[in-house]
Amino acid sequence: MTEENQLYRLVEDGQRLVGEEFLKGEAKIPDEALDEYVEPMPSGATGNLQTLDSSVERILNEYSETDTAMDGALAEDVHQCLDITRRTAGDPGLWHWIAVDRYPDFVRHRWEYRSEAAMREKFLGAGSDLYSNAIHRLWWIAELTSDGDDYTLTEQVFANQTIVNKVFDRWFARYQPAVVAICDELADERSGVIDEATRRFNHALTNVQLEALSEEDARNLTRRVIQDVR
Amino acid sequence: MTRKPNDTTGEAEWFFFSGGPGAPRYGDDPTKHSVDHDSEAFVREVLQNANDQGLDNEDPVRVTFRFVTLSGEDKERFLNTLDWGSGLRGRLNAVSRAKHGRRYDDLVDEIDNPDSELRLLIVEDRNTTGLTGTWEEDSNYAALVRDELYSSKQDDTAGGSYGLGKSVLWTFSGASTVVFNSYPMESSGSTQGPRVIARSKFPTHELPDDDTTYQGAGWLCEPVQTEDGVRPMSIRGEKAEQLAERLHVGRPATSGTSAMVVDFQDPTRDERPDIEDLAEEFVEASVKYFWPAIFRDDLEVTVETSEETYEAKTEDVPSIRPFLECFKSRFTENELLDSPGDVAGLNIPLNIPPRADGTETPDGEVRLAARLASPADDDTYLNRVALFRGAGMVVKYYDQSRVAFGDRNFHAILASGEARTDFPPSDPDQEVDRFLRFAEPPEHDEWESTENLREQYQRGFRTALEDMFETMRDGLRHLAAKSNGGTDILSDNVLNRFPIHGNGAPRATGNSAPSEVFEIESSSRFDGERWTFSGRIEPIVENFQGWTAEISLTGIGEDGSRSDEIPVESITVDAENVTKIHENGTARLVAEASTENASFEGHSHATDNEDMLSGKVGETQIEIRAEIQTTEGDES
Repeated sequence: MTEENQLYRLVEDGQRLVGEEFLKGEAKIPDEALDEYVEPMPSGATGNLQTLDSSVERILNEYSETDTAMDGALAEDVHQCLDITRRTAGDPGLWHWIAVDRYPDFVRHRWEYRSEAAMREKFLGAGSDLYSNAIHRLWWIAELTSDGDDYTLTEQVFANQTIVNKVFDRWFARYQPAVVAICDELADERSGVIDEATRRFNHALTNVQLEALSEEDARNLTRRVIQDVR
Repeated sequence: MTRKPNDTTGEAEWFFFSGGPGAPRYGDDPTKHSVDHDSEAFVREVLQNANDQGLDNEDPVRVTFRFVTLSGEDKERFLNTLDWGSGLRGRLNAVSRAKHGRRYDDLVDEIDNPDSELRLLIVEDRNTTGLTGTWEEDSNYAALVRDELYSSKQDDTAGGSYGLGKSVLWTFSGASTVVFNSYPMESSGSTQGPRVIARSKFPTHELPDDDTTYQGAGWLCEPVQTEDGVRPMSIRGEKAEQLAERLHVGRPATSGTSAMVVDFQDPTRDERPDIEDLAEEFVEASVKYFWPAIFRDDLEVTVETSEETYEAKTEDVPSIRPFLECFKSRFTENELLDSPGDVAGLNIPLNIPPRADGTETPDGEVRLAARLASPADDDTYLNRVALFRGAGMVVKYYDQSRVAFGDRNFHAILASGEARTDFPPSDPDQEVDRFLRFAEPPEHDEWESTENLREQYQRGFRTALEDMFETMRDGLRHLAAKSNGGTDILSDNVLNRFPIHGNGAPRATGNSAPSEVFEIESSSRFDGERWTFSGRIEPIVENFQGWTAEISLTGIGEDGSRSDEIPVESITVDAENVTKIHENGTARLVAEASTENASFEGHSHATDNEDMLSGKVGETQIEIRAEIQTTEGDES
């Protein structure tokens, strides 16, 4: 029997608590300071945070720092433990709370500090940019590539960081049939092919309406482009 | 018709007009069927009436909805005062015996049942004109007490120009009876009162012990014999005050009207809702439709039950909060929405045709403001535009979901007429307000082409409205468009329609800021085989030694990101002293100090009839990077 916990969001003003020292992992934000800027999700959304806590704990123990394999190892659990609507997941405040308050150690374990701006994005990205906040990114990619409880494609995608980079940093990544088609078709390709094919695909979408494509259409389009690029 | 008129100190009694042979016969109240009635509609209509009758001063119109539940002796005393036993019950029995049915039968049983409760709703407005005038004239009093579907309202900004609203009072009365107590504000500026009268609206009926046909409309009044026959007069003075108290419709001696709905019930519901639930619905409906008036302190709404008093506060209804934020920030200088919560605005022109009498009208504008929705917002009215004018009532939450795209949802307002600014309205604002008022149908829930508009304005009113909405939609598209990601052709087209953005000349480059050193024009198109382009470059600074311009073509992705370069194959220039250099598919023009401007034309290499789905041909932007050499150094 698992227990559901209330989910929270970090309000916009709370972002000022996130300074360089925190991003580097050299300072913590006191709980009482955070409490002032954290509020329950207005939708009343809940999640199974106990399970997620232990998954994150396991990842921190099992994987060395910056190992990209931890994405694939955690994505399914993030998605299952946060069984929320896309609308709820569209609230940046939720992901800011999760990254800043709940799992800052994971964010720092996964992402090396290269610059303040880059690290801020890992903590305070989110919203319409799928490829930003460290945990938001896992949830959305799992959301767009899973099929019910089947996370096969999610695992394939995370096994190939070129796909993660080239597909999910683009606008068409918000349209699930296209995501499924292109990720599936590109799964075994070389990174050079993935790079060029996603660029061509994106360019072709200026001629056809993305949302009018079925998964089959998107698959045909991808195949056509891949053949040309190889 | 033979009732003897009472003298001035007489008791109130029920008076019904007799129809006489050939007089029109009424079924149920004809106005009952004209509006889609639920409690929300009730609140909206009633508040609109009160709001329109506001006095011309700084104070708000105050409206209190008061629920009173009577049982036992209280109920009996009330019914006696209302003259239920000898005045109304017999008539309702007569009505129910006729073909009009069971509703009245059940009603009589219910009211006569000593164990059942009687629900009253008193709508008390203050700082309003009250029921001024007499039966004989075109007055507030006559419009409410005498007429059907006839309006007599304060001024040009008033919400109603049909008088339909008042009928809801009877629609929501199980006993089809409403009692009024009014302190009218007379033209002298003094408050006269109280003035008490009740009105019933029954179907046409006959009583068993006389052979008169009664029309159906009845008054608890002082029937007075006049030259034109008997007229129902309101009770005045101390008698009125006492009567009002006994009927639970007493009020403070300030100008305004209290209207009591006897046996309040929602005709659209089978079950009687709990009073506290009803009170909360009333508060929510008040805020939903009147937040502009409430926010501007033009209107205060309170709902009282025996247990609690609720005040309608704009901040308590989450679904309208985003609209309120739009309204507060509607004159922001932002013209783009970047992050959730941002508000941006545009002026939307409304070109009003001349009035029917030939008077020219000034062209006006209304203010569109949109707020990018955040997932934390209540989404009840997501992607809707709240339309309202000076009356401060939201006419409609206009669904514009088609304009939203991707995750860029919004809430928007169209603040119009006397609600456009917070300052005293300009002449155009007043004309816009008048025009839109006449564009409202009886339900006041649209701005559309109406008979009223046809009467008041010359041809072109329909186009004026359509153009306003069309521009509003384009404006929304522009506001909701992606604010990053490069060339947005749709958005540029839209910009051309809004004078504040300048002349809408084509942009020279996709991403960079407009040049301060050069004036650059360019255009490009795909001719089926290749991209052709042309343009003109002119330095706008004085004293330069020469300049260069690099012209390139770049394919872009769906999201505006750069894709491959499209090599320029050929370029021609019309100016002398300009050297052309081709490098890696880019054309470079090098001009000398004497070259004041240069026009150019060129084309890319052919695409070899590439398939549109190959990813090799698609949206392309022309980029022009120009640099000038001056005596002080280079600028670009």
